[in-house]
Amino acid sequence: MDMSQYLDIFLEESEENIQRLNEDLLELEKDPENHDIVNSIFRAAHTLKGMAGSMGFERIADLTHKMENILDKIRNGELRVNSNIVTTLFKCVDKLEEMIDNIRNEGIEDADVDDIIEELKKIENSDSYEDNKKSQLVFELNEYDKDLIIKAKEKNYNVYKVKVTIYKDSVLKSARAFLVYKTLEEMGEIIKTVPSTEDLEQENFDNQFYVIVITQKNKEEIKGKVEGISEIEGVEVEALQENVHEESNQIKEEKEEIKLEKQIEKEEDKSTKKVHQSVRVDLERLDKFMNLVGELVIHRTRLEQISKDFKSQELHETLEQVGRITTDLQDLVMKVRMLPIEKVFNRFPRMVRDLAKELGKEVELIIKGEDTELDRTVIDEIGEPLVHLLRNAIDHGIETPEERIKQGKSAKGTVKLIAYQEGNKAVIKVEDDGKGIDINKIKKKAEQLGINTEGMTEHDIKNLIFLQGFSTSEKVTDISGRGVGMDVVKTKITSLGGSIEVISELGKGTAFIIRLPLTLSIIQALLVKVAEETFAISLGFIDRVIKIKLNEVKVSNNKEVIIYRDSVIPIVRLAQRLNLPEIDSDEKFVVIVKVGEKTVGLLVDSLLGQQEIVIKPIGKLLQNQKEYVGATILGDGLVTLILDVAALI
Amino acid sequence: MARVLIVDDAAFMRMMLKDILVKNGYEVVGEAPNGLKAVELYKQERPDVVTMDITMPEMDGIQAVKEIRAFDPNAKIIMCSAMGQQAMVMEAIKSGAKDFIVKPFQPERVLEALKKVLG
Repeated sequence: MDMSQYLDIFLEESEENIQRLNEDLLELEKDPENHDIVNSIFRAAHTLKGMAGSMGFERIADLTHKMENILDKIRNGELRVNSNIVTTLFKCVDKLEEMIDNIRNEGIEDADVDDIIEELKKIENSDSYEDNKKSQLVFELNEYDKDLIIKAKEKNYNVYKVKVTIYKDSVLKSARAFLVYKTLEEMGEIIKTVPSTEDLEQENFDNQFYVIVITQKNKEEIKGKVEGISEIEGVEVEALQENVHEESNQIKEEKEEIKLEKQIEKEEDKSTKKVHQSVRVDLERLDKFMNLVGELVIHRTRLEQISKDFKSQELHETLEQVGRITTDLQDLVMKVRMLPIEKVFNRFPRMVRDLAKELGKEVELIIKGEDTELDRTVIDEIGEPLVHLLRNAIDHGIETPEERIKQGKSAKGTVKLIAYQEGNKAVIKVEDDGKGIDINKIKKKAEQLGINTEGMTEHDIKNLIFLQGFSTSEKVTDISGRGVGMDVVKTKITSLGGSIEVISELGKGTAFIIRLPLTLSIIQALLVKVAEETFAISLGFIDRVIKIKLNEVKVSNNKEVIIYRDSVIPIVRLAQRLNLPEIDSDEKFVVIVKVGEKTVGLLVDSLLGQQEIVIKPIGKLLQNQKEYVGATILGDGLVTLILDVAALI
Repeated sequence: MARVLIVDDAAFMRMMLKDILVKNGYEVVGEAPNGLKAVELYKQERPDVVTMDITMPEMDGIQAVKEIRAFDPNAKIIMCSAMGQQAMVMEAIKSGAKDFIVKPFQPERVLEALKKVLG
């Protein structure tokens, strides 16, 4: 039987399952006891196995089979999830991904799976119980505990950490632990045990455990009582000296905020994850469709122009109908091309996890607004710059846990990836609560590069990092710091018609804010005249348009500016900039445009009005004309260039 | 010398325990084959400590602990459990048992428990 006809669907579904495996494994790492997740992973692996087997991809089938074995043992409680198992499973998923990629590109799975299968076998045959038990005995207090301790101390209670060691050969250790628990509980309030009470109850501990107790009794009384229980090898009672006073409140608030956010996210999850009925459409057809609608818009505009000359009521009414329908059609095709940014965000949790592990940092990634929709061209292109920003945030932004604690922050850093729609723009924020940008370092670097930072605002100085060759990192790592990064990010985003800026506070963190147009093909534009030429400017950039007398243009710092409503706005003479003859007239118009936080006035001769235009690429020959993003055909058939505002200012 | 009440439905177990205790200077003031008898004997003898089996006919050890503790909130009771009776031991502890020993009995463990409970 020829299976090649199923290859596409096989590849697509395999990818979906691999994505699910990645997501589930991340969850499992956070919540190792959750059997629902194990089951979900099992199902994904099982589906992959079945599909690969039918397609004759033996290695994938073999690898997923071995994964199943381990997952099965976990389900049956024969194995306990530990970081080693999760890491190995991640490796398997990587391997599967590699094989799927190879199948897509070369038609064969071709990858060496022997090593990984060996590793899986080792896990399968090992009893992970032992090292798991040991690894669990890490004593750590969370913010909630700390807060309780502080409150107890304020009320003059004693807070003791009681370390209890039971005879190694004791049986019914859980009951023994419970006896200790009960004894301590009679003397005060227990706020925490390590391992957790559930683990104690299920005998998931070696022969030692900790109990934190808030009590009015003294050390000796506590020790004496616990020692009064049989089969106890030793009891150590230690007063807790947590210096948690200053940091605790602030951090607690943050934590609560995060918790709240998570909750909201979860709720959102529930509501948005409806089952959609869908049809898969070839992208090429969609592009063609888009193009045709574009043509239709052009001709509609042209028809409207012609109808003005005829002054026929009937024609006018019909055209209005056509106009409405084209607008709807346009909206629809735009929406069809839109994809939720989820597609891009999905791969980040895994990346962040790996990166954090590699760098020995603790990072929590919070993703919000993944259902924000963007044109698929943008979706395809935005991944790379975001990867770069995230890497930067983790490598340069987030400090090591030790350093963070020293700074009074929580050991775990937070990186937020937030997307939302703002007007006709989509905004993506990459925020970290790391060390922030040191403005002095940037100034120094700027000097080296011969940039005069005098008179620049702090904000402007920070935004110098987007210049080429600008890296202030002292050491180049694998991950970032080569100085080719930020300008590439900026170039990419500008080429998508978007803008990027940075806000940062030393010691508190950094936020990159990216603004992107929702769609790239049809825009509202203002048509302006410079000399004899007509140009289009996207309304998305325009703040307002004002009429001025030429003598209102002043010179400050060798730059031409106007003063408008108490703010100084630099002026760009478009005629000069585009090598056109300057028309001698007293009155001119200033189109005030905003790119990010930057505001500039474009000096033009006259205004022609606002219109919907379809962006057409200007072709290879003129591609290096940086001033233009494309061209459009107006209603009267005139070809007009569209100005790239971001490149002009 | 401390006075002990031994509760166990198996005469063999009672004998073993009695042996260990007597050899080490404890006085066994009574033996009960079930919880009902144990409660009755407790009220009558007021022993310093009780060793209490869990699974017994008529009335099990847990119920007996509850009734004895209701009669004497300071009663000191050590549960005698077999392996795998974790949950029941916990139940007994919740009901007020002070400690537990696990069968098969190791004399030093039994003595340690008694000594500590009598503290």
